[in-house]
Amino acid sequence: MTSPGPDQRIRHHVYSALARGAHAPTAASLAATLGVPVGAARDSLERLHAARALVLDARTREVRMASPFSNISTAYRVEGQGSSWNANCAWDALAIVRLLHLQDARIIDDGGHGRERRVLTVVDGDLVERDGVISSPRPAWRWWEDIVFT
Amino acid sequence: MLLFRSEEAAGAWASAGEPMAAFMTLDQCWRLSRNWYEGRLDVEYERRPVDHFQALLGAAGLTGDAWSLSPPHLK
Repeated sequence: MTSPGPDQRIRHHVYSALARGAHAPTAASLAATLGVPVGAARDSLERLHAARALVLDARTREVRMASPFSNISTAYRVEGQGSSWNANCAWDALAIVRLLHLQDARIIDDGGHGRERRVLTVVDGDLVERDGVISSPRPAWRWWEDIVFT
Repeated sequence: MLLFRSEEAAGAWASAGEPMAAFMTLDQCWRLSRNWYEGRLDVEYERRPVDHFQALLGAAGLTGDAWSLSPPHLK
C-alpha cells in the first residue's frame, strides 16, 4: 500500500478536524502540522478545491466547506455526543448524523428569513420526524455552478 | 437546500424569488444520506464517479431531469 500523498493528507486533516467538531485548520496550521511550506499547503488546498474535494472561501482561500461539514456557522447544525457540527444545508445536516453514526442527536434548523425554526431528533440511530421536504434550488447538474448557494 | 413543512410552504416562501427546481421528502433524504458521503473520513478516499452518485439518487427514488447529475441535453 502506498502512503498518502500531500493532498490526501491535507484533505484528511481538514475532515478529521471538522468531524471532531473543531474548525478546519488554516493553510498555515496545515503547513506547520505537516512540515511543509505554507505555499505548498495553499497549493494543495487549491487543487482540492479544483477537484471539488472541498470548497475554499472566495476571499480568504481558507476552507469554507468540506461536505457535509461547514467551517462557518449556518442555519443548520447537529448536536450529539457532547459536540456540535455546522452543516452546509438541511441535507448535509442529516448526512453528518449518518457519516458520524450518531445514535442520538438533534438537528437544528434555525430558520430565519421567513422560515420556521425546527428541531429534528435522532433516537437509536433513526430519524424520528419524517414530515417535511427539502428543496433543491436548481437541478442537480447545476449544483456546482454555485455550491455555496446550493 | 432548505427544510420546509411542505412543497406548498416552500412555494410560498420562494414566491418572491426563483421557484425551487425539485424537492425530496425528509424520508428520501434520510435514505440518501446513508451512503452519500461514505468514506469521506478515510485518508485514502477518492471521489466516486458520477454514476455512483446517480445510482444513490435513483435508489432514493430521485429520478428525472431535476435529479440528473449530467446535463439532460448531453445524456
